[in-house]
Amino acid sequence: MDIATIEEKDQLLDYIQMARDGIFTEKGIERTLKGIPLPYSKIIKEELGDSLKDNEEVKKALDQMEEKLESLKQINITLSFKPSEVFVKNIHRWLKKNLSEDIIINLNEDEGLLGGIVLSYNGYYTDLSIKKKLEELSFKNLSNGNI
Amino acid sequence: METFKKLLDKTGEIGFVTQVIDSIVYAEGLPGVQPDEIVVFETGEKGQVLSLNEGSIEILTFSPEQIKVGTKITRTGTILEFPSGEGMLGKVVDPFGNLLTEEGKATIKTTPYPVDREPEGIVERESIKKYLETGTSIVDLMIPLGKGQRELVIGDRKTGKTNFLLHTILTQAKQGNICIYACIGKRKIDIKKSEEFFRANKIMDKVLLIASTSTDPAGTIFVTPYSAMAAAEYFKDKGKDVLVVLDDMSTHAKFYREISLLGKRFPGRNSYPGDIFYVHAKLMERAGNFSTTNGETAITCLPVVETTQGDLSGFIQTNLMSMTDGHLFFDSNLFYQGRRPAINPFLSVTRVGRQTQSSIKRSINREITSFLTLYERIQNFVHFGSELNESSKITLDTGAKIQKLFDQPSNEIIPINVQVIIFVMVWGTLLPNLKIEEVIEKRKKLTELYLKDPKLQKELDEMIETSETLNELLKKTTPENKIIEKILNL
Repeated sequence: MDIATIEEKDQLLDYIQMARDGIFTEKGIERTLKGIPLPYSKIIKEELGDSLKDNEEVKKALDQMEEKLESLKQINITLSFKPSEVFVKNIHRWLKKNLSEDIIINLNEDEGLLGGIVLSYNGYYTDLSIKKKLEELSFKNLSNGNI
Repeated sequence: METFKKLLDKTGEIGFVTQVIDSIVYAEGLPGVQPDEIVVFETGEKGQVLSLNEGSIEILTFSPEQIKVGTKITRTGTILEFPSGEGMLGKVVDPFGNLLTEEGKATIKTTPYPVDREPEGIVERESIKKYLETGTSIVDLMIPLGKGQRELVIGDRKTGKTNFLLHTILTQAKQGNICIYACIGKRKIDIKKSEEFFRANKIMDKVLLIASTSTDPAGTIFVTPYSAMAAAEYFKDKGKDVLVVLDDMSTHAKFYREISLLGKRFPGRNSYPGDIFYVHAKLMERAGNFSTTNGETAITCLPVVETTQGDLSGFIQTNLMSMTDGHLFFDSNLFYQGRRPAINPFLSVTRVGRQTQSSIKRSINREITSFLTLYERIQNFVHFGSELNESSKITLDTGAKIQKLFDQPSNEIIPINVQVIIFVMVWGTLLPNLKIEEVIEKRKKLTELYLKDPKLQKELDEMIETSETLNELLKKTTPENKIIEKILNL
């Protein structure tokens, strides 16, 4: 599943619920999926595979999708600007390769950081922002008497 | 306490609140957190880690406001400590050392003492040898206490327990001992009244009042007696005897029950958690008589527990009775009869107090106890309306006088030797023609004189301490004796 951010995950979960609601109705799963926009409908269809004919199999597959989404590990990233989608996808790709396959990004924006990044993952926190560096620098200068 | 941001940068660990159940929050993250560690929320509030579960941390908050889900948390790397020190005397503080009144907001030099720690072992302890004077006749003569003793004060509500405790603190503070009064979940007006009592009697400089009000969070109330004990340990380590009053432990038990039930601990008897005994026992064991580098010093503990309709067999009540060195029972029947303090000497126990008494006081103690037992028995016969012989009448008369002697107002301190000499004079019928009210007036005048005149004090003390038995002292108390003559002429 190519989901990069928390927002995408929440959106996908909503559409999974929509698909689940559509299984045992007159509409059926296929028509329900047509009402779900891309890329989410594509992701759901890929996961369902050949089981579209069997409602029970579809339900089972959707439940498994939901479980998998809930078990994704979350990394919190705070930037000083709003990044583009491509930027986010690139970060996500790098994180998947170097950290964990099952990872999604909780993206936040804080202009006060001035630049750099603040990360927290698995209970660990790192502040690599320009703001922090400037604070450390000014404190060091003040301590040394350099104003 | 450092700010949240500073601690976050320092520790490099972060957590997020996932569930809030009143004063318990569950969080995830903080991979290196330890049990009992203090954590700080991004709102500035503090909490203590109760337990570590798979995937979540259970935290007891000390915040009056509800913590929101999603709030960030960071570690401090420290356990809960109370800032103890000489500068804390005379202050009214909360269990974290924050001043509660306007006075004395200036910075105070303190030493942090862990609120929860292992009690001292057997090697560091000494047997209880020194006498603890309460200034209350019935206790000092019949149910004596020692320094380092844990004596439970038990009785129904509104039977004069707090008055007695304040009286004891007054006596001890006037003797120069440090007193710590822990108000556990009390009303603000009651805390204020206690403070006013100490200030009015000019003993506030020897008292530390640690208070949690009834509106404080359960976590804050729970920690109060432990903070009091931590403060006491500081003074004990400095070589000073300390009196700690914990008022009251039944409230403490109720709040611990609340915390445990919210934390989904399995309820036991009366819905109390299974470790309620341990929670109180580890506190009581921190009191005692210890051998320190500054000599022998004692932490005397007077925990209070409330009963319902005089029922001594309650769960918390019996727990505390078993982990203390005796109890003083405040009988509501005696209270309604007008006896103040309403202590029932027959249902009260002191396990280690008698060994601190001199032989004369022990002799008097035995005599009063056996006499009052006889007096109670004869009183029962009087109810049947039977005719009494002369000796029974004398017994009833003397018994009534002695009981009257034991009645005293809460602000009146009677030094032990004044109590002894007046009792001996009444016992030896040296004051036969005086009404008991006149005897009480003489006692009051003698107390004033005793406290003002060091020479009289020394002579009276010597006369009493050089006697081994009551009979020996009785032989000395004749009108020919100069001291006795002075007393008779008061």
